[in-house]
Amino acid sequence: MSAEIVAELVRVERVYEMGEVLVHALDGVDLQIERGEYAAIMGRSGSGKSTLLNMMGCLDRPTAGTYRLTNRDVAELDDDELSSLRGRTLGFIFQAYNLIPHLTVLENIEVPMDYAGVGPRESRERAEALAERVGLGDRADHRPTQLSGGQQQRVAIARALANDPSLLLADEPTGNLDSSTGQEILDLLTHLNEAGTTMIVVTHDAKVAGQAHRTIHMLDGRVDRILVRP
Amino acid sequence: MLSTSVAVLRLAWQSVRRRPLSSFLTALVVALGVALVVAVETVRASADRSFTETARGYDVILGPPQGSPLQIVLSTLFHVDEPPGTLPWSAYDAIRKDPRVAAAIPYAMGDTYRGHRVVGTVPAMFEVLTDGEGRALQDGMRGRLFGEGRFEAVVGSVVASRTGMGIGTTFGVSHGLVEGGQPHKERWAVVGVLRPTGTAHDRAISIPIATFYAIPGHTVPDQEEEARPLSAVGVRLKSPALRLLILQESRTGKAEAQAVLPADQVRKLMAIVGDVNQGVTIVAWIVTVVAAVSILVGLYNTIQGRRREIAVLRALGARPAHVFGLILLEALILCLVGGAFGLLLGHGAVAAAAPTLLGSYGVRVDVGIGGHDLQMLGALVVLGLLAGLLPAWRGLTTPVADNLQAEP
Repeated sequence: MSAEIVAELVRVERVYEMGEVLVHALDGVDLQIERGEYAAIMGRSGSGKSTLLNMMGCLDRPTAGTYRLTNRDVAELDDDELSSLRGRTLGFIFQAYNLIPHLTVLENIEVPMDYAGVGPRESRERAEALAERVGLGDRADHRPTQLSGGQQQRVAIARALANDPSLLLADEPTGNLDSSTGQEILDLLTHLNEAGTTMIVVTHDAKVAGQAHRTIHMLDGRVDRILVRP
Repeated sequence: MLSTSVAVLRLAWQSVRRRPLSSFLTALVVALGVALVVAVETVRASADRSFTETARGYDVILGPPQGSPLQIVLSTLFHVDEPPGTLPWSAYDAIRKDPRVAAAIPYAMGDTYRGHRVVGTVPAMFEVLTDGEGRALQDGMRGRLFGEGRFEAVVGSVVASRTGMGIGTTFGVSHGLVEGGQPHKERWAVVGVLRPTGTAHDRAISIPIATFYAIPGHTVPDQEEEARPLSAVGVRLKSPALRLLILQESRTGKAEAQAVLPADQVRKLMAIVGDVNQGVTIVAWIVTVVAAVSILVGLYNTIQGRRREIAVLRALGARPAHVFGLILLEALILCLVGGAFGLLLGHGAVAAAAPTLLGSYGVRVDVGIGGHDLQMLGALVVLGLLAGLLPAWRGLTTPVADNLQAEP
């Protein structure tokens, strides 16, 4: 029995026009992400890993090839449909946390549920449970500026989980953290994966990639090689 | 979806509150503009009304043959400007006996008491003339009207409050309509004080016309009653439709008096004053529009600093319309909060000033929120939306992926 495919890229290309020059940021990427998987994407800057993440996060569209997220071809969706697909099936974790500064911890966690049309009562209950789950139950009414970097990233993780996403995308999640706090965040991500969350982490840090089942190395807009952890 | 709309509204409100100083100042500018419009509009409407309705007491005014019709109306009804001359008592007798006339009120003017005009007239004037609400001037007065031929006086509310005159006070008048004239030796006793009416009579002192003629110099000794000089005669007709006929007759009749139509003269005056009023109203609106532009500029500039926030919202599932609506709502909130505050401020200021305006200046302003305020709120919604359009568009076109990258 083959595993369920959450995300599938088939010969995906992304070409930018820089004046007269065409830049092939992605140059025919084939990739499948299975449900429950923990994958890392590595590569030097300019290798196309950020473009690949944007593509998988539906923040960008392929100029050629096909990207299917939970069996829906992204090319067939308009802006509104893409926005709601993003909000309901994806979770984002950023290097700079990107919390909304004037909202409390709970309010930040509620944002994706607000846009997904979850009612206020249910959304409050889920936000409280998620804050508890990332260990910030006692900080629910704090604002981001009152939290440490590690705590802010925990809020971001809780927010990413708000709509129970099919795929969680993390871009250098420990990039702004010291090593011990970074390790705590990695442990949290590993726990989440063990609990069933499908996860893709973009990183240049081998230690971060070491937590993943598979490491996809990018080079010049192509998948260079894929290492599977024994 | 309803819950999403509520969430966007909440987010807009939180976003406005995040910049307390800039939001407060922006709303304050709107509030001041709106308060200015409210105050100007209220005073303008009140002035218009009091002018137009004061002119309603008489259908026709007979004045001296020389002098402009406007001057006759202004001096008789509003007690500004000097009477341009005199007409003989016989003209009053003639019109009084005319069967088409319901009431004829003689006026003799030319003296003052401490700057307040002294009007020689008959007690019936206080019944014929009404205030803006249609109440006769004599309604609600303290004391009583003067008796014909007695040295008694009725003073207006402004005169009473400014000079301290009350029932029982005696006083003498001086010659001329400006202060510092020759004092006369006759004395009058105040027997009545009018309630504040918002008319020119708040600022005037009325005495029996016979006592006016008793002052030396006002009549030539042994003058025939027929020839006594009058400043004007106010005429109420049995049917206002007759006024044009009276006007016609006056033009073809003896040249001892001319008939003027107060309503026409006030209309002409309002046409001139109206232009000035309109100018002031336009200035007040310009202030409000400038306030809306300040919302536009302020909001537009914040978008630059909010590109990351907007990109994050988009990544978290916000549709383009949600971002557009968020920024539009922020503009609307600033405009409406400022506007509501401005309405309170404007009406509050007018209400606070109303007793003083009536008591000290005899100007009655209409206090209270009216249909005009709804129009104002409607206009503010439109202004707010217009002010938000450009910033919202800028927010809408903020690229998402580029603004999510690592460092701000």
